[in-house]
Amino acid sequence: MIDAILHYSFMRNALFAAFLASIVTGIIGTIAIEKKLVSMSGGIAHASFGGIGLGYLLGFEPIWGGLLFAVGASCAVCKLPEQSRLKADTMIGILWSFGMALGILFISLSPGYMPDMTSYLFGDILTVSRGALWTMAGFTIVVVLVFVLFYHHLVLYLFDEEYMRARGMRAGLMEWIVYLIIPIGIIVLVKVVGIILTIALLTIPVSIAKMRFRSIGKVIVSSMIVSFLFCLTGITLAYYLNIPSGVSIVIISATVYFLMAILRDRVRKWKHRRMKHMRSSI
Amino acid sequence: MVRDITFQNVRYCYGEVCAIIGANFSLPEKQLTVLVGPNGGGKSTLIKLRAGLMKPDDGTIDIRAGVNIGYVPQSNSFDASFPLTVRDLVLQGTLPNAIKPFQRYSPSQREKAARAIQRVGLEGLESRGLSQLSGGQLKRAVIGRLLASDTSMIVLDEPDASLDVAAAKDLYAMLYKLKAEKTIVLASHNLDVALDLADHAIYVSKTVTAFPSARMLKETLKGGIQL
Repeated sequence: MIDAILHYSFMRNALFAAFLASIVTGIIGTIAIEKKLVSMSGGIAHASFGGIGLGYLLGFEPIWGGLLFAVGASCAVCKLPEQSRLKADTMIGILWSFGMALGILFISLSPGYMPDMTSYLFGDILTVSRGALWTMAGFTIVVVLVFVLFYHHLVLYLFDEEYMRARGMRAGLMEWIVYLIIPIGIIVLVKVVGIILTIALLTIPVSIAKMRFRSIGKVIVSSMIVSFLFCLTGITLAYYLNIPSGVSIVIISATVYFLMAILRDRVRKWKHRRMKHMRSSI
Repeated sequence: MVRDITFQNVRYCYGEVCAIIGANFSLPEKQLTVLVGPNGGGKSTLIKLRAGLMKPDDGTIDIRAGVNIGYVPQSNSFDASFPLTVRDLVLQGTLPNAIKPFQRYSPSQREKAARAIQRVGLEGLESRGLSQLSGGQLKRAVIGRLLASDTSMIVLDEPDASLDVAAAKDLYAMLYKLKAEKTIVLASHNLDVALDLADHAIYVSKTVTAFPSARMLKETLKGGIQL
């Protein structure tokens, strides 16, 4: 594996992409889980497919089209339910399927052969180009910078929006920031694990980190590390077994999560039994 | 006696159903006032009006200049499984209202939070996660956040709602100590404990009757007098 990293630039690109995706996972995953925006994130990821298709149709970099559609979908989920009778959940469902349908339409209208979309749907970290890497790095810097700039107020917004409003703080500003950085982060993950598997990388590393840590800072940092380890293992498996990297990353992440959940449950039960035994012997 | 808040002829209705009619009373500074009354009598409405979360349909609520009100709702407005320690929660109280980039907690903010944690009796539990706290400890931590935020009045809506008797007694004892520096107003069902500690009492059952001492309300209720 180390040999491959030293010899092939695509492997080095893949490692750097995994590093960027892991940073995004820690921040955006924590936001999505704690603000209960996981299904919205799924909706945004799928809506971005419309923009990717538009990029192919009009001949510009598809990832920029994806970003445009993702930000549009995020703003729609944030503001339209307030102004109409639609529930946010319904809006997510509509945008989810509408984005996918538009993507397929645009691609089918594109001149020439139909491009292979599997790398966007299921991700392929081993095919990330140097140009795409720079774009991903730019998006990651935006996410990190915004999060660090407003860290304490953002955490308060995620934790207790009602208190923030009661104190007269600008919770609305934090809401806009959250709804703008989520789509930017999602686009970074789309390149690594694809539209369909993005939710897995957003939720699993953070959920594993939450099993161990009680402070949000530690949860964010440790989920970044966990995510990077998953990506690394996934890339290795994909390289040697010749399987799609997005799929291997998600299968490894989900397997580890289930094993850890079972282990945690067993440990809890064992501790409970031990306590009970100690009490009865006293 | 300095009055922190004065209600004059306040009325509040939910559509056609009025919860509070003709409320006239004032709250003295650094005293503990307890609100009692039947379920659905309007205690929570009165608490929210006082905390500034709702505007009256009629009448006026005068708040003395410089009085900052901190409100503790009946049920927490947050998810206790959020990865936050007691220290993180209380530190949030020291955050300024104006949102500026790169805000970090200064040593004086950390000092203030440490003092607030001590005052609510949670020293030693600073690094504990919120999900690891009991109901009473969590309520104390929330009050600690208010103490750290320089509020001069703390308004609590049934703080003992999810607590057992011992935890409720502890909480009231802590609130009693706090009244030396803060004005405290609380709605409660726990008449015996609350009225024993309170300086003043207000009976709320759509109409509002203020008693100069908690003992007077207790005797009135014991005497079976219809309010």
